[in-house]
This record gives sequence, structure tokens and C-alpha cells, in this order.
Amino acid sequence: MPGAIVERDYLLKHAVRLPVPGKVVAHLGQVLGYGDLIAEVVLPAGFQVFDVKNHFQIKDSDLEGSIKRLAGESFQKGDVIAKKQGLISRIFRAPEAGKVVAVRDGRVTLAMGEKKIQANSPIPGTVAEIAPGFGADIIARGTCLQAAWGNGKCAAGMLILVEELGRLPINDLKDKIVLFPGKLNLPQLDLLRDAQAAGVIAPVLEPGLYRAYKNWNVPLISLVGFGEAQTDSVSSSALQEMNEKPVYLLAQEPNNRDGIKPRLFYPDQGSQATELFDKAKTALVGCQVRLLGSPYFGSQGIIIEVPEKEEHLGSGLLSYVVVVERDDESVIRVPLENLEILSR
Amino acid sequence: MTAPYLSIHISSLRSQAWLFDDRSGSYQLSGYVNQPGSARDPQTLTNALRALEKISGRRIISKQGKILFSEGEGTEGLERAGITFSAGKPIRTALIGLSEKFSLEPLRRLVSFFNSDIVLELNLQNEPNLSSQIEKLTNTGFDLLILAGGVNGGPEKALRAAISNLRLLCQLRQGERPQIVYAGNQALADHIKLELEIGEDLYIAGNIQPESGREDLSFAYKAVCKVIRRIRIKEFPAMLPMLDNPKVNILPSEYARARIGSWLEQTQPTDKGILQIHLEPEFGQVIATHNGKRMGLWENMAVDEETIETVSSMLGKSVDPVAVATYMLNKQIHPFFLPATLEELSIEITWISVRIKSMLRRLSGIDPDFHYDEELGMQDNYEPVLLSGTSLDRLPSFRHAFIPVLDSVLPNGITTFAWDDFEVTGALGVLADFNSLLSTQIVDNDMFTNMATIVVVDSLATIDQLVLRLEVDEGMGEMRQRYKVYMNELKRIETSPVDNIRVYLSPEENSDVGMGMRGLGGWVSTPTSKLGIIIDARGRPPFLHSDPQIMNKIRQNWLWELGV
Repeated sequence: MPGAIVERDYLLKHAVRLPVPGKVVAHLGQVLGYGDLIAEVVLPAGFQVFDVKNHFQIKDSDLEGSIKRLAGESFQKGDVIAKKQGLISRIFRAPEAGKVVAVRDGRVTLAMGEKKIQANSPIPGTVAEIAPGFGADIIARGTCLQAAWGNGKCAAGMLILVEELGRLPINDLKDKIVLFPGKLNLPQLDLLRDAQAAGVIAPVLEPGLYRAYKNWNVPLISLVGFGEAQTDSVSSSALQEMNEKPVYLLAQEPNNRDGIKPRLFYPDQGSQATELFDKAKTALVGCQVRLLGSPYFGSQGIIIEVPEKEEHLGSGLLSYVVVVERDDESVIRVPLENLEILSR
Repeated sequence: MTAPYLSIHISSLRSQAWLFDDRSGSYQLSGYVNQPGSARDPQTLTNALRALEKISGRRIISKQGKILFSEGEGTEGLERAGITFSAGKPIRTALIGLSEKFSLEPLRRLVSFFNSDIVLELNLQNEPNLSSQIEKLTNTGFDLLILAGGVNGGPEKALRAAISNLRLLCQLRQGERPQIVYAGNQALADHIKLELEIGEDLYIAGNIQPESGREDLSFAYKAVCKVIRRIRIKEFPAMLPMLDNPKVNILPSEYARARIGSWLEQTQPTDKGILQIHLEPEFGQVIATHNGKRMGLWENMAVDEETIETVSSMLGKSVDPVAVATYMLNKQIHPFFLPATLEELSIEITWISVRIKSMLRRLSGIDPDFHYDEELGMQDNYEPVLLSGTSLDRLPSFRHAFIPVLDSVLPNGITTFAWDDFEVTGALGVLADFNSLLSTQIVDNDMFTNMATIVVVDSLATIDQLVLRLEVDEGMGEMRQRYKVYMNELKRIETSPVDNIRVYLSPEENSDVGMGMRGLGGWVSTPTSKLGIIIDARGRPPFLHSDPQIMNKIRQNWLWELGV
């Protein structure tokens, strides 16, 4: 049975990885704060391979005497790396400070400058598992609101519920995670970016603006997905509880293959992040659910019955269904695949 | 009687398991389970195996949940087991080649077959600057690097320099080195081993171009399979105990599936190839085996504006473009979401067609021996076109699955569409090393369902002109059914469930039904099938009326004829 959309006292596990292998500095069991370093890789900003033999037109026997630095040696800008002796001597000097990383086959490879890539913790939590060379899995306990879509970025800030953009002074949005009740259009994206909002939450997004949302440099999540829908009452109530509290927006792009979902997380300071037991699985009847697909997209209800046999859908497909009583008291039959459990 | 053989498939959203045994004297499928659940949860697989035990009445796992192998005759357990996997991230791959045509193009053909993502390509001719090469290598994250180039005994200088850079890369990434496959000039095979000193992280495959103009990817396929196995074991450590067990074979599902395709092609009485299309909500794969050559492409599902627009334009005015975009974007988020309304179903079917077309088009782009044109359809003969996968399986009927495949593959001549009911191709492919008789006997057991026999009429006639007459002999003596087919018609002829239905095709003189020349007809034997015989006289490219309303009506007629 999939996890619920809103989970309280939830043990969140979040993977933090470097794009290229480096060094993991966090250790197992370490308690991390938001932004703390987990892993880093220091790459040379540039390389220069100098072919001493070909450039100086020298014999193999003269190579050893011509190369003035050994592998592993550091050098400063202007230092002589290789020199051809003779009446008219020729010199190869280091264009920048750096280190000789290889001397082989008559070639000297210089690594110059430094480029650091770091992987930081996007939530306060505890290191539960180390991925050698790449990063770690962080766990934290708190209230977790699972979203449908995110644009691949993360943020932290105070959650602020905004009824209408423009009513609040622009400075009030700075560094805040803004919960916006409607679908965001392009001018609103510009406004929120200019206001330096740390992140944005919207119930649904406009399908036609998919690329704009994806490329937007502010972390963004959609609670329900794309199309027409309202925030369900369970999510609304969780968001109300988080209002004006410090929250963490993990706006990762959903990836079912790796079980990655975008999330809004509010850590409960009093909880222990050491219990790794799954909660007992509960029955479906009585679960609050949110519906996917037309014509009920985004609407919510309660499962009142789980028939044992498969049934035909309007499209002709055969599927296991559940009977849901919607908030408007209408009773409908929904395929199991087309609903999300809001809470149990 | 031997102990049973187990095959397991681990995908990201479900686990499948098959049990084959020869209790009846020849091998049969004695149990099959398909359980939803994440590949990252080992319990999913255990549950699947427990369910398989119940179905088959055979003991296959121990109390500790480990696969149980037979210790000898009369003991419980399995003879051998095969594991295939489609789960896992696309393997980030870097390609280094000496030239575009002779190195990088074959390497693209090689890696596109697998669940991979090419993140870096270095053409040593275009990028001779060693400093720039090493910069690109160190700045890109990848799991697999393949280096190829040069015929055996040919020039070595550029390759040696690249190998020297790889040495540096391996030093910089000590501890978390990428897997490296060398598939170039074999004169440097020992040199690269000595130079890199990375032990099991280096794989020496045969040269992909042993002689000038001759391409051979067979050894490289095997090397890449080994690499993928290592990478997946790291990703799914629960499989680690299986790695060195000689009774277990582990393969990527795409490769296992292709093995059966190759075997089927070899057993074909005709010179037609085998086309396999497997479609899942998160990915798709086409494998074509023709003239002994294996060609394939794996495509992970991604929704972009272009795909949405293509699906929307194919649906025309019948569905609101916003509804199309909404459905597709939400389906990407919830891949197992089912189309609940007819509108959603029409979007789903059209999208399937677009996905298959995209894979076929891309495959023809990377492999010059795969001849497909989006407008004109498949230019080579493939029979059967073997279909499988959840995306097609979760449509209401064979008819619904047939339409998008016919409209995307656009076959020519005469062919058959078959359905792999239990997805056994991959399951058998991974066990083929242990017991080749098993695959033969299982396939001979009519494991595939014939969906339809398709006769495509290529004609110079204009709309509504007669292009074909046919007689169907269902073995009822002199009683034969006679039909006429007109240009731009899609006709379905239902047949009785009897073996060996004979059809006499009599094309008009300007029409070709794949018998070798226009006007030439003859008898064709067709196996019994779910949909019967489909005569596709819509032309290649299929005729599309300029008036959208008339075109919509024509489309409706085609669907109506197929019973949708």
C-alpha cells in the first residue's frame, strides 16, 4: 500500500549525492543542521597537458633532464615545468599555480586552480547511511506533505500562506516558502522571483507552462499535479499547522523508479530519528483519499467499501476498484490505481 | 525429470517470477506471478516467490527467504535460476571514439540498446586536445566509459593518449572509479590493462571494428552486460549473494529478451526478421533481429512539450489540447494511473503510438540496417511483431492494443502481430545458457497469442478503387468467403478458431500484397488469431484527407471496422 499524502510523525529519508565522486565528510549518526556539508569534491579548474617531447623536439634520452617537476609537485605561476637545454634554450612555464598530476610518455599534465562541488543537507537530520564517495542518506522525523511534482530544487524558510500576490509588501515574501492558492502564471513567477521567495507551493499548475515551471530558478512544488483542482482538506489542514513555521521544501522531480517524491517537511523537534520500523499497515476502508483523472481530478473522499472483484471502468478497462464517498456525498467507484491516500 | 527452473524479473514498480518444469515430460510454465511493489523493497520479491510456491506446489525458497537449490535428485529446490532486471537508474555513459563513423556511431548503437544515458562523447579526431579531454572527463559524472577505435593492428597514437588520460581519471577517482570497457584496437588491450591498473573495473571486449568496414558488437554486448550487472548489484545490494553463484544467471532484461528474438529468427522458415516491442509506463524497448543482426533501443519515458503537441495534433479536435497535456503530465507523475474515461483512453492509445514511433524512428537514426520511415512504415519484413508490457496489457482488449502498434509500425507485405501473454521472452532468455531445450519447448507450447495476421496492400489506385479480392478457406469444403477491399480501407475478416486458415489473395494489377510484384497473388496460410485477418489498404503513407471532419469520419470507420 503506498504511503499517505500527509504523514505525521513521519520518518523522512532523503538521499544527498555529489554528481561526481568525491569525499564524504559526514559520518554515520552525525546530527546535521540545514545546509551542513555532507560531501565535497575538489576538482582542478583546468588541466594542461604539455607534450615535452614533441614541443621541444628532443630525444627520449633527453626527456628526463628536460622535465623539471615530478608528479605530485606543486608549482606557482611562472615556475619552470620543462626546459630544453642548448644554445637556444626553450622553457615551458606554469600558466597558473597548481600541481603536476602526471608525467608519462613525454607529457606533463598540470592541474591548475580549484573548483569545489559540495553536497549539503537540505534538512536538519541524522546521517543514517553513507554512500561512499558520493554522499549520505539523512533521516529526520516530522510532518511530511507529499507533493505530485517539483522542479528539482530545494529550499528552506518560513511558510507563509498568501491569498493574493500583490497584497503583501514584496519584502514580506523574501526568503519565505510561499503557499499560493491558485495556478501560477508567468507574471506571478516573475513577481515571486523578484521578491526573492525561497520557494513556492501551488495546489496545481498550468499544463501549458510546464517548461517555464521546470526552468524556473525558484524551488516549486505542485501538490496535486497539472490541471484543475483545489487543495484537499487534509493537506490544507497540515499546511495551516505549518503556517509561519520553518519548513523545508524538497522540490525534487518525481521519479517512481527510485521512489522519489517532492515533499514539504516540517521537522518535529521532539521526535527521535532512530526508529526505523514501518507502521502497521492499515485497511483501506476509512482512508481519506484524493482522486486522479477526469472528471474528479483533485477531489477527495473516504473509502467506504472495497469490492473483491474487478469491475469495468467507463473506458472499458477492467480494474479493481474502491467505493468512495466524496465530500459532496456522491458515491463513486474508482480504480485503485487512480487514487492517492491522504491520511489513514 | 529435473528440478524446476526459476526466472525472476525485477522492475522498478513490480516483480515477476516464472517457474518452468518438465513434470509432464516436456518443459512447461508451471507458475507465473506478477506482483506490484518497489524493486528497492526485498519483500516484494519474497512475496512474489511465496505466491509462486503456492501456485506451483513447489518449494523454491527457504524459511530465511533465500532461493533454494536442489542438492541432487529427489531433493527439493531449483535446478537453476535466472534474474533479469529493468529496475535501476539509466546508466550514465561516456563514449570515447577515434572517429564518428567507425567508433562513436557503433558505440551509440551498443549503449542505446540498454537502459543508459549518454552523458559525454569524445571524438578523438575532433577533440585532439588532451587538456580539454581530461577536463571534460573529470567534470562529468558517469558510471560507465567505453573506449573504442582503430582496426586491430592499426594506428595507436590517439588511443594511447586517451588511455593516458584515463589513467589520470582513475587516479583522481580512486575508490569510486567508473567501469571501463575497452573495445578498440586489440593491439592495445594489454597496454590499457597495465596502464590503468584497475583490475575488475576494466573489461576488455573484442574490437567493435576488427577490420576496416566490419562491425562486430557481439563481444561488446557481453562486456556491457557484465558491467551493468556490477552496477546493478551496487544499486540493489540484496542481489549480491547471487552474483557469484554458478547456478544463477543475471542479465539486463533487454538483453535476455533479445536472445529469444535472435533464436526465433534463426528458427524462422522465411528470411523475415523478428521485431519485439515492449512497453512499460516508465520505459519502452524495441528489438529488431534481422539477417542475424541484433538492433535495439531502450527509451525512458519523458514528457516534453513536443510529445504533448504530437499527441494532441494526432487526436485533432476530438480532445482539448489542455486535457491532453494534463493527462500526460499527470500520468508521468503517476505511471500506473488508468485511463478511466473514453477521452483518456484515446489519449493513452495515441500516446502509445507516438512512443513506439519515436523508438522506431530513433533506432533507424542510429542503425543504418534498421529501415523505418515514420510516413512509409517498416521497410523490412518482420514476422512476427512480438508485443509485451504493461502499457499494452492494461488496455481494454487486444483490439485497443493492436491499433497503436499498427499505426506506428506500419508494416508492409504480410505479417503477424503476436502477444507475449506471460512476458516469457526475457524469462527464457536468461535461462538459455543453462538449458536451451527449455526455451524451445516452452515456445513450441504456443506461449504467444496470435493477435492478427495483417496483409498490407500497396497500391497505385485512387481512393475507393478496388485493390484486392480475397477468398478465405476455413477448411469447410467448397464453402469459401469472398471479400473485396477498396483503397483506403481497413478491413477486418473474422476467422473461426480453427488451425490453418487459407486465404487466397488476388490483388488488382496495380496492387502489391507482398508477393514480390504488383498484381501477383496466391494462397497464404494464416494461424488462428484473436482479431482475424486485417487487410490494411490505407496506403503508405496512410492517406489523410485534408478536411479534418472527413478524416475524423474515416478514422472512426477504421476503428469501427476493428471493433473499437
